[in-house]
Amino acid sequence: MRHAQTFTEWLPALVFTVCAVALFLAPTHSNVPTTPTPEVNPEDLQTTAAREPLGNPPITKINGFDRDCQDCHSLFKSKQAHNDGKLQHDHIKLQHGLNSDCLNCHLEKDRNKLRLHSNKSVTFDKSEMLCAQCHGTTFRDWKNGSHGRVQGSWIEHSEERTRLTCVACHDPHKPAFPGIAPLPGPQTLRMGKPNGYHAHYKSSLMEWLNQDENEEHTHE
Amino acid sequence: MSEGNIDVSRRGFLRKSITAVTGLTAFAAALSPLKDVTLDDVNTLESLLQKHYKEMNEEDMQAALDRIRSQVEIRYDIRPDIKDIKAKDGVEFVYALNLSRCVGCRKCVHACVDENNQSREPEIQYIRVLEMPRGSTDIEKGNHHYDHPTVPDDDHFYMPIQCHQCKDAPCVKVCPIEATWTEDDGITVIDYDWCIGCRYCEAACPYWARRFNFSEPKIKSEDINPNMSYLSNRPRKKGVMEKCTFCLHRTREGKMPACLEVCPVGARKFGNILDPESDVSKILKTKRVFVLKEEAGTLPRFFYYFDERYPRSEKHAQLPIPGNEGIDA
Repeated sequence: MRHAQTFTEWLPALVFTVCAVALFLAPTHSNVPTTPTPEVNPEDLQTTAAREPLGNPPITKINGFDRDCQDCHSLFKSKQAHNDGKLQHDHIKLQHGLNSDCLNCHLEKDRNKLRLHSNKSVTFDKSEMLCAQCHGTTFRDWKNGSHGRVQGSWIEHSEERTRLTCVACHDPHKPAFPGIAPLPGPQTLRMGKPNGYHAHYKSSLMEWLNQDENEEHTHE
Repeated sequence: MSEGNIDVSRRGFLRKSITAVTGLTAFAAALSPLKDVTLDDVNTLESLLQKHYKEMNEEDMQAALDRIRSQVEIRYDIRPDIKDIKAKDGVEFVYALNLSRCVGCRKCVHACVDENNQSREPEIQYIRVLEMPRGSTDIEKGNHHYDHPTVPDDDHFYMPIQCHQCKDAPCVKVCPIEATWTEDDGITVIDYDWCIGCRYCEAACPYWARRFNFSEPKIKSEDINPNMSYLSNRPRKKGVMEKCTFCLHRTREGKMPACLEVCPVGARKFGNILDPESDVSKILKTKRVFVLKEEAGTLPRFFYYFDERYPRSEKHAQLPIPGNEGIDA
């Protein structure tokens, strides 16, 4: 009787001791892995436009001299208007849908200018007027600010604000925007399976549950 | 049992000493989390006595900025240019994002991390980009971990999600200590010195736009952006929430957010909705616009829109237009 009484008196103390030792020894940090953000090349985060248009009028260096288009074409009245079999400019592969004639856009009489459907001409720095003839909805969106890149400042009429034109992003001879390699995806734990929490962290309980599930499947 | 009240029996001695050992062990166990406390975790007296952001006068703010400046200098060994920029009158910021143009390159995600001094380990990112199957805006079907050699993928569209700066923000309503609030220009901000890290706001947000610093954020000194402001990108500590602030330190000075500047396809649009001539005003008037989870009633200031356009790839150009099946071309 006396022994039993002593034991009940000591029992809480024993339990507390065991709990206290367990708490003291338990790690205070969870061992869920935290993968760092992969390093990103600063060149991939450039804010400059995708390409640089040649200028107005485009200048080419020939034998060390700056030449514009008309310098040559006033001598060579090339009628070669089609995409195939060019003798010059053969680095240009025209991939602009059904639009496959050089002289659809380039003015035959003055190669320093571009040709509109109305046989009027525009200079190279107003090339968006040429694009607008076929891409009317996109041109309207560009004017309303919903298409294209506007950078520098959100304040209208600010000097730092720039609105890039069509040719700053699209190559007129191959206007489709090329695919680009995506930057590394998230490592964040809550974002789900591939690299996150669920892939690395396996509690024994979860393993046991999954094992149960797998067995059920094999029975079926 | 014995003389006086002193129990000198062997049993009494054992009982008392075990009680004493138990008590000491329990006390040590209770204090054991202190093992991991570093100097960084201890608040200075100034930060403990600091007033709420809205109650601070200019002098208080100057003192707070001085304190933060020296803390950043000690922690990262660089001298930051830290300011407190107030909202301008007649400005309400709105963001619009063109889903027809977004290619899912994730440049915005990483430009944001660089601009806003987010923790690199563990990783914290304000923007997440979902790859979505065509014909659905159910974000449960989205995939964060797409990894194609080049994007966009023909069978998917891409949907970046970040803080929507709601007009009726659930995160603000649940904060028990007013550590987060919506400013006059529509940006919901957090006072990192006031936040107690209860994470109610994270649970309340239907867009999962808020992030919690579970451990001390790690950023290399050379990666720190020294252009800082009190309410946006100054370095955070363990145990506080953080979120997108539309790059408040940039946009309140007239610049564009970092995510917009870096977008290679111009899918991101930003401006003042109170100005009828601004791009975002025109987009809201002329384009097909929707907000995410409209049924949540949060009135976001972040709009998605899309273009009336031909399909992105040759493959989809061959598919029949819905409703036009059976009509000869």
